[in-house]
This record gives sequence, structure tokens and C-alpha cells, in this order.
Amino acid sequence: MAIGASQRRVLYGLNVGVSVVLATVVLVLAVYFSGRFRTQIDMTGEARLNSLSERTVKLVSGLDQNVTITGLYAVLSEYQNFAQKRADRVRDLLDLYESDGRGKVTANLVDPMKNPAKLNDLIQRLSAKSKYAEEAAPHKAALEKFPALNDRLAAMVSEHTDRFAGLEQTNPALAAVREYNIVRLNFDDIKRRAQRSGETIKNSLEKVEIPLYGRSVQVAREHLTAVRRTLAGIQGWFAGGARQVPNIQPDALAFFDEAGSAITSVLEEVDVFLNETQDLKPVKIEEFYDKLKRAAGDAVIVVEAENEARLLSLNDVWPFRTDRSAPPAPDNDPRDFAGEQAISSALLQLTRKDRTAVVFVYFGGLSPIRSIPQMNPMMQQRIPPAPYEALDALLKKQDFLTEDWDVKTTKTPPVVEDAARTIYVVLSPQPPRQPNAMMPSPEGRITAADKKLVTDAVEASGLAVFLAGWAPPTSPMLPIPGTYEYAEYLRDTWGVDVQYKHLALEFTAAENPDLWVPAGRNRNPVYIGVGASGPIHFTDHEITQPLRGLRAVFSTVAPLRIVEGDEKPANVTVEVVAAVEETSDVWAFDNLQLVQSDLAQKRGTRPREGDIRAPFPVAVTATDESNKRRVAIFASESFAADAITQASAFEMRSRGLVMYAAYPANSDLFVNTLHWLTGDADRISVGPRRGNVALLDGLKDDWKVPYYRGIMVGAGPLLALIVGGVVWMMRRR
Amino acid sequence: MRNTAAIMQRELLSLFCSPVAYIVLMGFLIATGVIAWVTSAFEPGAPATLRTVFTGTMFVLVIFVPAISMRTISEEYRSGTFESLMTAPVSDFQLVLGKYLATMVFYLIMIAGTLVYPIMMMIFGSPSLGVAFSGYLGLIAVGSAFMAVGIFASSLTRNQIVAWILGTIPLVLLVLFGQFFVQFFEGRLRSFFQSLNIVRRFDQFNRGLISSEDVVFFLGVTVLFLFLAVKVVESRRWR
Amino acid sequence: MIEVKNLSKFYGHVRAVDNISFTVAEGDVVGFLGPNGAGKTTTIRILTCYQPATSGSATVAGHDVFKESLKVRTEVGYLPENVPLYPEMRTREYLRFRGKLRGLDRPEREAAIARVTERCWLGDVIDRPIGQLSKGYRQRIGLADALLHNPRVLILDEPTVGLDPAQIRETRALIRELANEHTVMLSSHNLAEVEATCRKLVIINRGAIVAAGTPDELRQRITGGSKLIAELRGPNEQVAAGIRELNGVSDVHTEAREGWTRVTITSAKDLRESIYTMSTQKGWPLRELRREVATLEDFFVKIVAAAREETVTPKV
Ligand SMILES: Nc1ncnc2c1ncn2[C@@H]1O[C@H](COP(=O)(O)OP(=O)(O)O)[C@@H](O)[C@H]1O
Ligand SMILES: [Mg+2]
Repeated sequence: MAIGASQRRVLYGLNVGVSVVLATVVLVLAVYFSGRFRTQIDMTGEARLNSLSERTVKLVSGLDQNVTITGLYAVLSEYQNFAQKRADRVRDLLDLYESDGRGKVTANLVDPMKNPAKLNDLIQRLSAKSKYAEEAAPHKAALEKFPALNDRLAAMVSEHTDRFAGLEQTNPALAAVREYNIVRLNFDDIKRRAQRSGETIKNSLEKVEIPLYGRSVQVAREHLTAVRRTLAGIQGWFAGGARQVPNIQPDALAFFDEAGSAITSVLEEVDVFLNETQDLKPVKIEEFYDKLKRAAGDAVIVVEAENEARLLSLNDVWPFRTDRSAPPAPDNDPRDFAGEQAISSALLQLTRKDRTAVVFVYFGGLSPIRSIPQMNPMMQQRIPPAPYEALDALLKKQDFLTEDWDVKTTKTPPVVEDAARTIYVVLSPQPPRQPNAMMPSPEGRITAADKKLVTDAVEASGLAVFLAGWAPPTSPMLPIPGTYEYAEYLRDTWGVDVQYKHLALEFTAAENPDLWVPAGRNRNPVYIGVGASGPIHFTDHEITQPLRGLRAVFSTVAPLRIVEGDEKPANVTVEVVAAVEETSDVWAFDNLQLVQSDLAQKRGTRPREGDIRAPFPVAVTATDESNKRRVAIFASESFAADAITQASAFEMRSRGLVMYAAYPANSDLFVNTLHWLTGDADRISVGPRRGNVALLDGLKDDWKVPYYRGIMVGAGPLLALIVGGVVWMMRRR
Repeated sequence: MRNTAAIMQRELLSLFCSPVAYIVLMGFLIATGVIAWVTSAFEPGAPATLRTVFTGTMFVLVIFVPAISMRTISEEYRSGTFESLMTAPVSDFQLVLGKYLATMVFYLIMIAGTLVYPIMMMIFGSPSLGVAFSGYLGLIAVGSAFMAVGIFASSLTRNQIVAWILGTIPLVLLVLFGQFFVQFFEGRLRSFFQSLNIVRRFDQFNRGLISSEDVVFFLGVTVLFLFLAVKVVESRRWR
Repeated sequence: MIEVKNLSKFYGHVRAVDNISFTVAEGDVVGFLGPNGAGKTTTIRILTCYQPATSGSATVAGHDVFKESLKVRTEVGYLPENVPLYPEMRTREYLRFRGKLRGLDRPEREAAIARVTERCWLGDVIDRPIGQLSKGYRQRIGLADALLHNPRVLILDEPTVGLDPAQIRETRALIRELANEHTVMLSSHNLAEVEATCRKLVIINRGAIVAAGTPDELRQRITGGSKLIAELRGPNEQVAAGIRELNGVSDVHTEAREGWTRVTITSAKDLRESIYTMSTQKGWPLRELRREVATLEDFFVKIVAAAREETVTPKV
């Protein structure tokens, strides 16, 4: 052998060392790349509990900043069935986010009861975020003046209180005067309040994890407003009523004068403070703080981006079950899990900076999205809330900027700051209400110029939703059909013909094949349901894919017709979103008067010449390939109105009366449409998931259970013991 | 190949002839049974899932798997049979692989003992078989990695008890600290620790998610430690 | 068949084998003789590829033990010193297992097991658990295992240690028999055993080879320095001087005993006749005249003794 032992050892030792290092590196790389190009099989079957949707995966893996997701769950007792289950589901979901986040996502589940320190860390972290760090600065500045003011107030009050005793000695009559006593009591009260408010504010600035400036400002304002009112009253009495007290002495009068002017000077300062703090908004971080502190009972998820955070409440993550057609959860949980939807949309809001403005275009009348505040509660007649108020709130929650545009009064489209693009939601210009039923009044109808304003704005932004639909007769008495003002535009530019003169009604074919009667007795034939509950079905369109299975409804539908042939505008592609399927139950009637009279005679009705028979589309999207403009056209004007989206229904369940949204898909359909228009198909909501937790329901709670358990625990070991014994006996010989 | 099979067969024979094997088997089944009992996995109306049982089982494996593997190579060292093995035409790789396969067969039999639970659950409910399957797959993956670590430990010493301790300590560290450390880090470091976090990886299987990353991880750890064991056995030829 | 060249092995600073060289030709039966701790087992372990050498090289059946370990191992049947076995297995199971490792397929294996069972008189215990067998049987199982694949080279490390005399005889007979078919190298600390079984001897002590060759050759070499013992009645000094004058005397040692003088003479030649002549000439009565021939045993005992005392460094 050529080499000696020590050389050999070095050589072979190095060899082994290098090969071990190489093997480790290969392993690390293998794990890394299998993580990068992960394929996974979800063994939970249909429920796919363990997979994030492709959209979320795309979103999470393309994050441009670090994100922290913290689930706050306290499982107070193991008997709290849902709490444990929910904590587990959220933990699993967070795991999925983390593993798909490729290091960008940190996900934790924290039990705020067991681990309050972590909750505090979280609060501190939130308050350090740039969006919230300076938020409370004006509050803080305002509060700096408060202690001096409050002290001055207290000093003024107590100084005068001290003099009341002397005053009563020289003016015995005062003690019998009711107002005087009230004044005394009020002075005491103000003194106490000043002290209490001072303490409260001090506490909420010092004794908690983060100084609650907003809350303190609110406390200060409430305190000072109350004091203001009281002092103003007292001042008034000093100036007036007090002087009428019989036998009043000059020293008392001097006191009243002096006190009155003291109050005046204090009130001046109070007013300054109140004015300064009037426009201060609540501090967001304190809102978080409140919610987090209450998180012990109410689960929340906190999604943090670098500068900002979102808090998801139990209702966001676990909304009530809305799909009545689905079988009830085996564990009777009335809520569904929508964690992915909630977290992903929060992530989108936090990380995407290009926001979209949604402008509701209307013509005259009241704003469709902003209710007029009820100025005077005494007013007898309540102003009805705006028809799209709830939808507006929903859109804001989804990070849209909303605006309204009354074309009648404003001739330029509103400019929404911060918005990267604008979607016009074009409502049908309402025909003015007719004072005289017999007289259609031409003035008030939208003019061609105004229409042009709208269509120009739509062309400019290239994104719009047209809420078209059946146009009701302009007069309730005469069969003068209304007009859908944009029908012509939609037909010529987008190749979609809104047949607004026809109203689609859902009837049921009666025995006699020529006669139709309204479907069901309580059913309003104007409401045409979607999916399992009705003849309208969603197509495979991106907008509706996630909605299938959810209930929706369209009302006052006018059939749409997709223009074909020569009239079809060039470059425009029309895709159907929802259509009435081929059924003999739905007809769109031209002459409603005839239908009405038929039905009034309780004899059913029959379609006539010119009526339109199903199938026909009721919602379409149109894309102009040449310039990337997109519109969505719905043949039901009210489908996204609060009256329908907020409708709720009740049902008796084993756990009691359960309330659920009657038409949960309606608002989703609208929101998804907006997302589709902006090209953010990945923002389209994924819908709640339903884990079908199988239960041991075959196992009854009786005397047998301990035996079964015994078998479970004992059978295996016993078998091992017996087999071991037998083998041992056999091997001895 | 034949050598590997021969070594595996012999090892199995020795395993099943020794009382230690049955004690380990019994101990394991009692431990999982107790876990099933105390976690109320088998209560009227409880969810028909083995998830909590399996999570506990993984911790139990930290103790039991090295107990299966501890004697594989140590015992050969101690009794001197290692000499007759190593002077027969058997490669070190075949030896280690044979030992690993034998202990894995034993392990599978041990795990099969827990099939009582899903069977009982199937009688009284309808648990998701897919999830149960992936849970078992997870147990096998984790067990395989643990077994490789145990065999590596066994190749280091002639004393079984020392081999058991050497096998258990890294597993305890990996299982407890993997999870523990993760909390303190963010970003890259966290994902590094997260990738060592066996509890999390196992949990993926346990909830019905078979991901290529986890499979590769456990397979890779198995291969790495078997490789190390081969290198240790081999080192005797040149040291 | 076996070629050892300048082989050394250190355990740390302990020199177990010190630069030894020897060869074993095909068909040889070589006894590796040495006291305990001489380095026999160490050498054998190197030859069977269980351990690496510190320096030097060895080939077995033409393959280097370090570089072509696997080939060497297929050629060698090895009986380790302590005969390690699996106590929980039965004899047949063990032999089957070993047969598989040796690459025998089933029919071959069963035939081989039948053969070695007969050869090593294992018929009685073939289905008994090994743990219950006596040392003799275990030794035979080890031997059976070594023979299983009919190896070209058999290396037996102290094959008879721990056996009773009857078993020892049987085993020796077996080894003699085996010598006809295999190249055998056996180690022993027992000269008689080696003389009885081997055609060649390699004597090793404290890691170094002391002597090597056939027993006759060795005896020849050792006899060369034989001793004469004579007892004469005569004056001590005169006797000594007289003997010294004889031709070929290299060393004389005298000792007075009750009037007699006992002389121990070391010489290369046989001087008995000259001494007798001298005694009659000088008139010194001769009471004893004996030539002491050195045996291998003596030689070996001397080595062993030296090894025990740990003082003498052996010379060849
Ligand atoms: N594993 C070992 N570690 C250290 N020293 C050893 C080892 N094996 C043997 N030795 C020493 O090497 C020398 C030779 O031992 P060995 O070859 O077993 O002798 P023999 O077999 O001739 O009785 C002895 O002094 C012994 O103490
Ligand atoms: Mg020896």
C-alpha cells in the first residue's frame, strides 16, 4: 500500500466529510425545490379544506412585502365545541398561508387568555405602523391643553362652592329657592365630574398598553359638553332668575355677577377646546385596541402589512350560513368558514395600492348611496334610506372608493382622488313622478346631451355597469310604456339589446297547456330566482364561478338580446353571465294590462304575439377588444339594491330560529362584477367553505361506551401480549 | 438485494423473538390508547377524526421508534456478530438498508395496531378515509425519518441504552424546539425553522394534505441518516 | 494464496503487529502460532478485511484486502476467535442466513447445509436454538458457517480453544481432512495442535514473526544448538578445563555436587564419545552422560516465557 494510515485517515475522513456535506446540501435543495414547485394532494376530497384557492396562492406568492397574520383564539373550555373547532380551522388555514407565502407570510395562532404578552406585542406592533403612528398626533396636541382647562374649571367651581355657605347666611331666603339648590348641586357635580374625567383620561393615557388619545378626547369632549350646557344654564339663572329672589342682598348680587363672568371666561376656553376637537376622528388604532382586548370572547384575525393592518371579526371569518339548500352542518354550527375569503381580501386591500372608484350615476332625485341624515327627530315623515346604502358600505369595506353623480345637476363627472380607475354604475334615469296621472310630462326626462355626458364618461373610463331593466309605464293608468334611456347606446355600441318593454314573469304552466298561472301563491312572479330556487342559472363566467350554489334573485327583469349579424358592433364580444334557462314557466310580457286583467279574473293568462319566451340572457358582459373597454349589463335594475341584498329569512332549526340572508349571491354578483371589470379576477370572492366534519353519531351515550373504549385501549396491547407469549413459548424449544 | 433481504429477515426474526419487541409494541398501543382516551377522541358525538390521536402519537414515537432501532447495529457490535457479518460479502449499505427495512416492517405492524381506532370510528360514524389515509402516510413518513435517526444512533455505539438516548435526544429537540423556535423569528429565519418543524409537517399529513415538500423532507431525512449510518459502519474499514 | 508484506498494526500507541511478512501457498495448511496477545487475531482480522492495517499490505487469493475487500471476503471462510452467533436463532436458521449472505441460492444452500451438518457433526442440534448449545457446538457451528460456501481459503482463529479433549481431537481430525481441499490458515497458542494439524508454522510473538517454516525445518534449526550433560567425579576446575579443551565446545558450565561435578556443555557437535574417552583417560568416573535435544516445545515455551517476563526481545 502506497499511503500510510494517517494519510489514509485524512483522505477517507475528508471524503466522508465532503460526501456528508454534499448529501445535506442535496437534501436542503430537494426540500427547497419541492417547496417551490409544490404539488399537493388534498385528501379531504370535495371539501378541499386544505387547499387555498389558486387566486389566493397567486396573491400570496406574489406579495411584495412581509405580512403577518395573527389568529386570536381563546378556547375557554374544551366543551366549547365550536371554539375549538374554529381555532383548529383557523390554525390550519394560517398554516396554508404561511407555507404558500414562501417566507413572506408569518402566521401565528395566539391564545390571548393564555398568552397576553403576545397580544400586547401585537398591539405595540400595530401602533408602530406608519399609518397609525401619527394618527393620534392632533388628539395628543389637543389633550395637552385639557388638564389646565379642567383644573381651571374645577378651581372656579370649588372656589364658588366655598362661598355658598356664607351667602346663605346673609341671604336665608336663598336656601328655599329650588334653582339655587340645583345650582349648588350642579357645582358639586361639575367638581366631581371634572375630577373623574381627569382621572379617566389620565388612566387611559397611562395605565394601558398604548395611550388612548382618541378615547380621551372623546371623554374630554363629553365631559366639557355636559359642563358647558350646565354652566350655561347656571349663568342664565345668575343673570336672570337669581335676581328675582326676594330679599336678595347686594353681596349675593355681587356674587352672581362675579360668578357669571367667571363662568363666561371658563366657557370661552371650553368652547375653544370643543371647537378644536370637533373634527377629530376616532383613532383607528384605538378601535383595534378595543377589539383586540375584547378578543377573548370574540375571535378575530389580524392581518398586518408593513404599514397598515386589518382586523377581521368573527362575522367576517365565520359568517352565518346563508345557503339554505345545503344540508345543515353535522355539528349544527350555524356559521360557515370564510377565512380564506376574509384574509385574502384583507391582504388585497393592504397590498394593492391602486384603488378603484365606483361612481353611481343617477339623474335627479336623491343620492342612491347616501341617505339624508334625519335632521330633526321630531319630523313626522321619515326620509327613506338611500336604496344602495348597504351596498355602498360593502364596497367601502372591499376597498372601493364610492361617489355619486347626479347628471341632472352636475355636468362633469366627479373626480375621485386616489383612484386609479373609475367604474360607472349607471342607474336607469328615473322618469319623474307624474303629478297628473293622465299627463306624461316630457320635461325632466334625461336629455340627449346629458346622456352623452354619461356615455362619454363611460367611454373614457372604459368600465361601466348598466343597471337596465324593465321600464315601467310612465303613468300608472295608461299603457304608455316607459323607456330605458340607454337602450340605444347599449345596442349600438355594445351589441346588447335591452328589451325594456317586456317584463319577465315566472308563472307555472297549468293543466291546460295554454294557460299560465303565477308560480306559487305567495310568490311574487316578478322575482325570478337563480339556481336551485329558480329558472335563472349562472354560466361559467369568471364572475359567477364562485357563486354557484348560492341563492340569488332578479326582479323586474327585462330580457336581453345579443345583437347578431350585420348590426353587431365590430370587436365587441358579449358573454352571458346569467340567463333564464329554457323553461315554459318564464315569459316576458309586452302588454301587462292584459296579463293583469287575466289574472284579476283568476283564469290564468296566455302568452301573446310579441311576448318573449325563455331562454334569454339576463346579465351579460361585453368587451371591446380594440380598446380594452368592458361593460356589464344587468337586465334587473334592482338586483343589487339593499331591498334585495339585505333581505333576510328565518328558519327553524334544532338550535332555534336562525336568520340568514335570503339572497346571499346578489351582492357578491355585483362586487364580483366590479372586480371582473377592473381585471382583478383574483379579487373575486371565493365564498365560504364548508368542512363536513363527520361525527361519531352512531355512538350512543350509554353503558356500552366504556366497553368500546376498553376495546380500543386494550385490544391492541392484549393481542401483542398474547402473540409475544406464544412466540416466546415456541422459540424456547 | 438478496443480502439486504437476508439481513432484513434475520433482523425481523430476532426482533420478534425478543421480548423487548413485544414490550415496545404493547407500550406503544397502550400509549396511543391512553391518548385516544384522554383526548376524548371516542366520545358520543365527537368528530370522527383521528387527528388529535395522531398528533399525540407523533410525540410518543419520539420515544418508541429509537427503542425499536436501538439494538439493530449496537447489538451486533456488542455480541461480536458484527465481525462475522462484516467478513461475509455484505456491503455496509446492504447491512444498513436491511436493518432499516426490518425495523420499518416492525414499525408498520406497530402502527397497524392503531387501525382499531379508525375501524371503531367507521362502525360508529363515517370518518373521512382520505384523511385517515394521509394521517397514516404521515405516521409512516415521520416514523421512517425517526427510524433512520435511530439507526444512525445505533451505529455509533455498542450500548443499546446509549443508542436509545442518542436517538431520542435529537428527535426531542427536533420535535419540541422546531415548534418552539419558530415563534421567535420572522421572515427567512422563520421559514428555515418552519422547514425543520416536524410537528407542522406531520400536521399537514394529519389534516389530509399530502404535499410533495413534506414527502421529500421525510424521505430526504431518512436517506440522509441512513447514509450517515452507512458512513459510520464503513469508517471501521479505514480508521 | 495469502501474501503478507510488511504488515503493521497499531492500536493507538500499542503495536499489535509489527512489520510482518509471510506467504501461504495454495493448498498449504499454516499454523499461526503465538502466545496470547501476540497479534494473531489482529493479523487475521486484517486478512479477513475486518480491520485496516496501519501499514503494509496483504493479499488473499490474489486480491488486496483493503482495495478489493468484497472479493477477498467471498473467497474466505472465517471462524472468528469467539465464534459470535445469534443466540435466539436456531442452527439451521443461522446457516441459512449465512448461506444467503454467501450468495448461495436455495438448492445450493440446502445441499451445503446438509454437507456441513454432516461434516461438523451438527445433526443433533440443527433445530435447537443456538443460545442453548455448549461451547463445543457453537465452535462447530462457526466452523460449519466457514465451510458453507466451500471457500478456497479457510482462516480459523483458535479453532479448538475451549473444547474438551475429545472435541479437540475430532476438530483436529476435521481440520486435517479439510486441508486436502482448502488452503487453511489457523491460529493457535498451542504448539501441539499446530504440529498435529499443520504442514507449516509461523510463530509470532509480540507482533513480530519469530520463526517460520515446516516443523522439521524449525526443529533442525533449533537442534543445532544442543546440550550435553555429564556428571564426572573429579576436581571441578580440572574437569571444566579438560572439557573446554575438547574440539567444538562453545560454552561450559560446571556445578559441584557432593563430590561429583555436573557439567553442562554447549557445542555444535556431538561430543559424547570424546567425553567418555576423557573420563577413562583421566580416571574420572562417569555417572551420567546425556545429550539434550531441544524440541519445538522448548523453543516455544521459551518464547512464551519471554513474553511473560516481557524482558527479552526475541531474536530469530
Ligand atoms: N481493539 C483493540 N484495541 C487496543 N488494543 C488491542 C485491540 N485488540 C487487540 N489489542 C492488543 O493488540 C495486541 C494483539 O492482540 P491480539 O491480536 O488479539 O492477540 P492474539 O490474538 O495473538 O492473542 C494485544 O496486546 C492486545 O492487547
Ligand atoms: Mg486472539
